[in-house]
Amino acid sequence: MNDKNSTSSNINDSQFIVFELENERYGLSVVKTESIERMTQITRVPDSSEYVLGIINLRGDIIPVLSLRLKMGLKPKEYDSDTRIIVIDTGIFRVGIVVDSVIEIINISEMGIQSTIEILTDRESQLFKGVYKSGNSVIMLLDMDTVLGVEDSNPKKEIKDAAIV
Amino acid sequence: MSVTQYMELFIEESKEQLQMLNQFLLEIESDPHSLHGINEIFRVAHTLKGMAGTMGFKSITSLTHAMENALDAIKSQKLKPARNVTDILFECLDVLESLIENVINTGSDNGIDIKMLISGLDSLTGTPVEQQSESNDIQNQNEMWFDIYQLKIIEESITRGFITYFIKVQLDKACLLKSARAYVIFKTIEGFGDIIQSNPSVQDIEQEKFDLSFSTVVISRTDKDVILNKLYNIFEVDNIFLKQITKDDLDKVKSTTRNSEGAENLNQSQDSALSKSTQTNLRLGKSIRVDTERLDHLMNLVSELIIIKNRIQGTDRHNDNQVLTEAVEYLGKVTTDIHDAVMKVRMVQVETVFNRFPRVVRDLALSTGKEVKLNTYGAGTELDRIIADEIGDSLIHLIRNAVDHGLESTNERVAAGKSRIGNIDLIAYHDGNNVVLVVGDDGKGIEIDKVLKQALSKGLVKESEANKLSEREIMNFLFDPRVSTAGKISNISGRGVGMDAVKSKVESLGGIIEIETAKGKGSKFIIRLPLTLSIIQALVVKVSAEHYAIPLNSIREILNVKSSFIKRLRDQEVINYRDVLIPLVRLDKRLNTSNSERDDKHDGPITLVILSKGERLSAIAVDDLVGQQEIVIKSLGKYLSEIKVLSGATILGDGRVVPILDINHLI
Repeated sequence: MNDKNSTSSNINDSQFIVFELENERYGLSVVKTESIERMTQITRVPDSSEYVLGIINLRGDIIPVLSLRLKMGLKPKEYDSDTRIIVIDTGIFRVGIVVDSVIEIINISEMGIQSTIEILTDRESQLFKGVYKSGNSVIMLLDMDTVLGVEDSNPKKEIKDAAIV
Repeated sequence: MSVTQYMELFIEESKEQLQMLNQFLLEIESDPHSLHGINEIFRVAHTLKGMAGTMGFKSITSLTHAMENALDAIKSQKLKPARNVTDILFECLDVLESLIENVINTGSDNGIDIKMLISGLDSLTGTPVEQQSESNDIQNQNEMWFDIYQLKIIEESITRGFITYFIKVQLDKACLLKSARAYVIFKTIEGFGDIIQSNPSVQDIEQEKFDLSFSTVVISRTDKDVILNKLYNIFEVDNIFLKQITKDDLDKVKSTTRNSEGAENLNQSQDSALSKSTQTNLRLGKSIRVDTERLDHLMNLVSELIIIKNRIQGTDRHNDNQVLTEAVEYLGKVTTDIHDAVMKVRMVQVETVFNRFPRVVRDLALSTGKEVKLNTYGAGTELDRIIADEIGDSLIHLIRNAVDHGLESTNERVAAGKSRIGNIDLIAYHDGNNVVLVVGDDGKGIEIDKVLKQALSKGLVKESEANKLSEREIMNFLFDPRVSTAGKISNISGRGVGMDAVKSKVESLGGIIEIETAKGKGSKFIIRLPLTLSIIQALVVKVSAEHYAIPLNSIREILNVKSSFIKRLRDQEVINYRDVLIPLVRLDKRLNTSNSERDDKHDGPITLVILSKGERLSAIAVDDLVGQQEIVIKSLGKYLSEIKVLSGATILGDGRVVPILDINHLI
């Protein structure tokens, strides 16, 4: 399940993890993704935000876990055998996000990414790098740093992100 | 090994040397006749010079060299270590510190003008000492000297009818290629016989390591005039001194040789005595330097080991295999011992922090014009290296405040009937799982009324509530930056400058700070710090269905009481604990746990954990006690850094994650 080892067939392609939330498909760049985990016991953290589900023991490390549903303003859903935690390392902190299910990992060519600016409101569109049409389905490509509120002062990253959009 | 690898070592060691320099300077300042102090300072300056020389730091080398000269003069009692001398040496110390700071920052010791200081040092000593000793060396070199082997050869040659010549050649001052010229002369002399001695050595001559003259001893059958004639024909030879060595000469040389041999023996015995003493020194402080990162890594491994041990202990409960149970028990003991051992490795004596304070106090005393005596107690107390590194600045701050604002001026002290000299006490001791550091003064104390007045004027407390405040609560205003920055009120002015920084530093290390003061008698700032930062004994409690860990060192007592025991004071629940009313916190409500198993109306026993934070007490109500356990503190990470009620989390043996309550934010 460790995607760091996966290699892209084309330099211009980016690899994305495709997952589902409320029957919609979202994409997340594998670059900062550490691993995909099955649901595990979550310990609640008092005084935390509503979308912070708690902390988990990830092979001896304590990792906070967020509900992406709650973070995106969706209703909570019971965990089932498809529920997954995607562990992300932003470089500043590590965090797990809970999603309904993980579908696949795909290569997306930069050419196929369409901006969301015309489709969504300003505030919403900031959460996304763009949309990608794959056959009949539409994949919303999340900008995880914005979702998690990472203030990244590294200018290189911004240039790289800009190139993808 | 590259130079950069030595660099760290150089910086580390030079810092240590400077620390020692500081210490011994203070020693000779208080006791100018302390030969020990002078010797040690000389040794430190010499060591620094050697180290800096190896690394190619010229400024440090020349400054320490000049210091050596001055110190040598003091040692030989040509110079008295009066005030002006110690002052300039202290100045040297400061400059050396900034030079090394430059080395750390820029990799070179440039950028600081040391000429003034060096000329200051030179003017102390008058004539540079170094030249004298060097000229002595040259004289020694000019003397005829033979070892036993050479003596035998010469004696034998004389009996066989050979002539032994001592030839000293002086080259012309204008001679350019001295070694080449010397080579020609050597070749010529060799033509007459066997050269058995050369001074300086042939190698040194080849490398031009000689002034203008050199001497040889040659065994030959040739007549002395022939030799002289040949040698004078060599270009650029200025003067030649040729002497036939007779039996009489040999006897003379023999006696001096014997003397010098005796001296050498003496030297040797001194050497061996010296090496013996250094050996014992080595044995006393036998140590190696270890990168703190490696220690941290070791500590992490021990943490993992403890988690695994806890897991094995957990599964062992359902096991009735006696052998296994014993083995697990033993494993537990060994793990605890390893933990203790690693902890000890990470410990340093608080002395390493205290060492820099005598100087701070000295400078403060000078600048404030007060007479101050610094008394340190418990400098051997050990604490975690990280804590020692972090707490130093806070202590300096407290000391500065104590001297500057705590102590009265000398006149005021005399008027108040106190001794002229103000005392600053620096105390360290262990108290359970804590290290306590106290900075105390015997000055005028803090005027509580004035603190309260200022708190009122800054709107920190309402007039109506002011009367209810305890002395301790009022004192706490001193840690508020708004109180400190005002700084107009005479005898507490500046008291608070940066006190909030001190408090937050102490709290970030998991400690607490308290103030005790008595009017006219002085004040005490008491800092309590945990012994270690990463592994603690904790009590795991159950609240609703959730588990929480409470550090054992903050637990005073555990009580089982009836719910009627709990009283109400307005909106606050309190209990009567040993005749003192203390606040009660219901953890389930405070932590918002759902599905409380406990029925509030039920008058069954309630489990209370009495917590203490310094002198402050508080009770928390929990549902159940799970047990006491050694736990490894893990950070919640940056994403949850806003959660103040928890100080971290730990992983139990069964893999379960248990949050650790931060007592500072519960009381």
